Amino acid sequence: MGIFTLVPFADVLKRSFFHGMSREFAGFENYISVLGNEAFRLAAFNTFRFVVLCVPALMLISLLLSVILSLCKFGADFFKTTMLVPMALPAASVAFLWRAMFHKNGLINRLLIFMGIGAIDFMNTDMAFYILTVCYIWKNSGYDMVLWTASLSNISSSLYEAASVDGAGHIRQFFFITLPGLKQDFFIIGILSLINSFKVFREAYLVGGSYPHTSMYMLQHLFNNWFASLEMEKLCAGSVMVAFVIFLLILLLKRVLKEE
Amino acid sequence: MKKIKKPLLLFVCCSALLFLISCGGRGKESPAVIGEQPAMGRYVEKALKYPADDVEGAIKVKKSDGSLDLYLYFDQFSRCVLYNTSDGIEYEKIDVPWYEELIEMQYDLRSIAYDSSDNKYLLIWTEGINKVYRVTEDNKFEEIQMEWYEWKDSPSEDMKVYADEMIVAANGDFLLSQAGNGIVQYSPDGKFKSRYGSEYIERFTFSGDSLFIIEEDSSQIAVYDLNTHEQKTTVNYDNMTGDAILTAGSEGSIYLTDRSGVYRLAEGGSLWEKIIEGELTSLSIPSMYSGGVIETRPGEFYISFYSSESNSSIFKYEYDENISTMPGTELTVYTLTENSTLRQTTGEFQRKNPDIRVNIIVGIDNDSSVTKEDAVKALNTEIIAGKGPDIILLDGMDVDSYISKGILADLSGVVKEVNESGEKLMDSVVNTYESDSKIFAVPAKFNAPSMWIDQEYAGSVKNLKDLAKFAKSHNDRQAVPFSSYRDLLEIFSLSSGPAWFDRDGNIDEKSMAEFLVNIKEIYDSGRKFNDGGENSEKTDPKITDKSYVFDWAFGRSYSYCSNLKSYNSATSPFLAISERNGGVVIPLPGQAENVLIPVNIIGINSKTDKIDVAEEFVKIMLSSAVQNPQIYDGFPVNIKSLEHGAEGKGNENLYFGLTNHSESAELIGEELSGPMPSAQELKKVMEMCLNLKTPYIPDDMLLEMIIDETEEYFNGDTTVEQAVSQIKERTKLYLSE
Repeated sequence: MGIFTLVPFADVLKRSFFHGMSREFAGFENYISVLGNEAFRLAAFNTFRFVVLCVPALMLISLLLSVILSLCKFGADFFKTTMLVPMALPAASVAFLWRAMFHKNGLINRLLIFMGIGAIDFMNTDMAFYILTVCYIWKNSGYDMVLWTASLSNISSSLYEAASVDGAGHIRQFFFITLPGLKQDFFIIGILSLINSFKVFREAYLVGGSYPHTSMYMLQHLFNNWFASLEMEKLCAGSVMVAFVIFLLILLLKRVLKEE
Repeated sequence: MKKIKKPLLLFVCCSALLFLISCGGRGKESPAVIGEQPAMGRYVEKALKYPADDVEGAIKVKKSDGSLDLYLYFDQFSRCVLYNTSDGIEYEKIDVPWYEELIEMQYDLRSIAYDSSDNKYLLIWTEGINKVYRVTEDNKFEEIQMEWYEWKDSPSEDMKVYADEMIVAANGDFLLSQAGNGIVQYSPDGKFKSRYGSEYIERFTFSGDSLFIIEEDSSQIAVYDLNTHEQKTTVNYDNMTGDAILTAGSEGSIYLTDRSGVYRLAEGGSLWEKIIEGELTSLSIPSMYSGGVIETRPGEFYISFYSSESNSSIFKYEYDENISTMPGTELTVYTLTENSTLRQTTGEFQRKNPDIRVNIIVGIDNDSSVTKEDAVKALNTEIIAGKGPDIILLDGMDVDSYISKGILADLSGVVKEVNESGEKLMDSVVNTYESDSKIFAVPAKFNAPSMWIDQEYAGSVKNLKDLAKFAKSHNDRQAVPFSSYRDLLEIFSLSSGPAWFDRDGNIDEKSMAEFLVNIKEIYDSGRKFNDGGENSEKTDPKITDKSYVFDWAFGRSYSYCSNLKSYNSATSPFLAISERNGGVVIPLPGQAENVLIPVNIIGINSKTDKIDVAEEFVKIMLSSAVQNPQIYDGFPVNIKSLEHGAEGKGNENLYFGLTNHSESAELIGEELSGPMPSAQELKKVMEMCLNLKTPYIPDDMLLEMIIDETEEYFNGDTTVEQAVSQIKERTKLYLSE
């Protein structure tokens, strides 16, 4: 951990205070330049919007799925496996599927034209962002569902039996037994979902390339392009800021859960 | 226990770090180092001087005594002299009276072959038929009555028997490569014996009773028995470049020569042994074409070359056991894609510096799935780690970014030295990346966006606005041939791109709007002439496609536009000029004036420890030795070479033909043919090139965005303001990064 993460990060931190390759001390110049960069601001906003929208939605949907699955009398294993299939699909295949479906001349547009509605260039409008969101939830809900299921299995069944005897229905049981019982795993599942949300870049990149529609333009796009054009000082300053924000988020989440 | 845990952990971490540090950052070692002692010995190339000047071509034949007969051609192949040499230094001149007779009879000599007793045999082409002659002791001809094996499906009577190469096997049989029949074997008295291989095989040799043929798909070499006529075996032919030549060697071996080197296959063997490294010799020079290696005595080799300018040269290869197998010093040169000028420079550099090996790293190999972005990232990683190449060919890369990061060394001294050596460079091109009197990258060549148009109209289309006006007023045919709006954007972006940006590097709305309006006017005036009507678009149209030259040649358009890459690429428009009896070449009209496209942009890594060697490499790249040869990837930046190219040397006997392959049935069969452009014509291209002043590096990414965002505008669905706004929005990220 120290060698492969902290040492390189220390190098990144150091580079963020120097000019490119010349190693001339720059102070906070790189940070100011990055904050003033329009592309960075847009990418940061999109990434933030994506995380804020997707992570809670994913956690909620996967929790509901795992609860439904736990109530299933038959075929629970089959559905569990089915939900995990998207996770096993290579990113390139998913991107290909998207293209085939959402392209200007894709399957959905064929259907829309057949129905008398005009074609929509999904990937070149603001809809691209929502398609990306759906893709992320579709791909990761199976994984989160398995995590929630493991967490659910830790809640003693005697608590549910006692609640039933006391006359509590499924909804009351969910809010008063299940949710408090999942609290201790909430943190780790939240962090894993957050980390997985950054991986959606692969699909976004394969569908839209280095410069996708502005709504899909994430921090990873920007960092990728900065690396290609050797903007190392900007890349390092941007990375430090992102790491700092994630670190703060984790601390915040930890504190909130601790207080509760 | 706890007390020792922390120091132990610290120790382990420090050890791991030290281990990691010691693993990386090692200096480059010679690839051929065994222990401390480098492997020694390799074949060294030595240029030989022909015993006469102005040699236009050479046929070399090995004699049974191990000497070499050289038939040298002069005066446009009208004269031939035979020289015999045993060492490549001393020559004995022997008259060839029979050659004059051949010329008188208007016979075309295709091939000379010797049998094991040094009897000479000639393969002749005359009046549509082949003949084989034996040269008698008193230098007379004696025709051998050949029982020709004809090509059954021949497209014409002339082609039924069409042989272009002949060798005499050990048993005296003739082996000829015949069009449509592969290799055909005839007995010494001309009787047909057998045929081998598929229809169009040309590359073959023999050893003893075995015939070796490179199969048509170049996948392997088939070995046949010349007595039983059966295929004996096959030999693997992997990892070698195309255009390989097979020749017979001593002791039953055969040799294969290609650009990567000379390989030997021992008698009965199945593995190739590389004996001469192509990269260290002239074999790798793109403008030189080898005629295959000849082994006169065991271990003594000769290769003759001819160049794109019809010059001939010969080299001897001798084994030097005192020289290291691979040169100890390595100069690494990085290029994103294969580049002929770079190869040419490497060849010339290698000749002058046999102790330095130039290692060309090609980022995007044709056979790999590496994308440009992957390749650039890999290069950047190397540069950041301080292990980047010594020299970088910057085509396709973000040169400005490399300059601003201090990656490239100042080349102003190199440019100055070349200029002072009497080889003047074009300032407008070499100063493309000039800043504060420093030059960080030098384009070695350039392309010239140009327009071919009638003299009377040339004065009225000085810029894009004029051209749009012209298109509107002359709408009886296309002003510029195109298939879709994409064509027009692609070509005129070359001459308008420099005007699109404001001082901050953002899109200048006014200029972009003006560009789109003008292109739309040209588009609207000419779209009705497209085959499929208003919405016709070819799948992958390119305005520089040669088929558009037919539109101009046969009066379907007022002009023809092209991005000229060499004098050679001016051939088809000059043929069009002679077809339509008029026309001139002018710089492509646009929003900027006299635009040129710099290519083969070379830079030196400022961190290299071989700066002197790298500078020497760049000097050679800019010198006439590299700039003179016609390798068709750009006009030379060296003015002397530009003038040399305009002389059209080597064009004298060439004839060029072009047929229209249009999808439209009525246009198929249109033909442009004639001699290559004369020196007078090429001079006009040169004069235009010398007037080009504005360098512009096209940005493919930006152009793609503009093309995407203007489709609706060209279809009439949006206004120009909306189109410009869409372009600004789309390119905002790209330009602001």
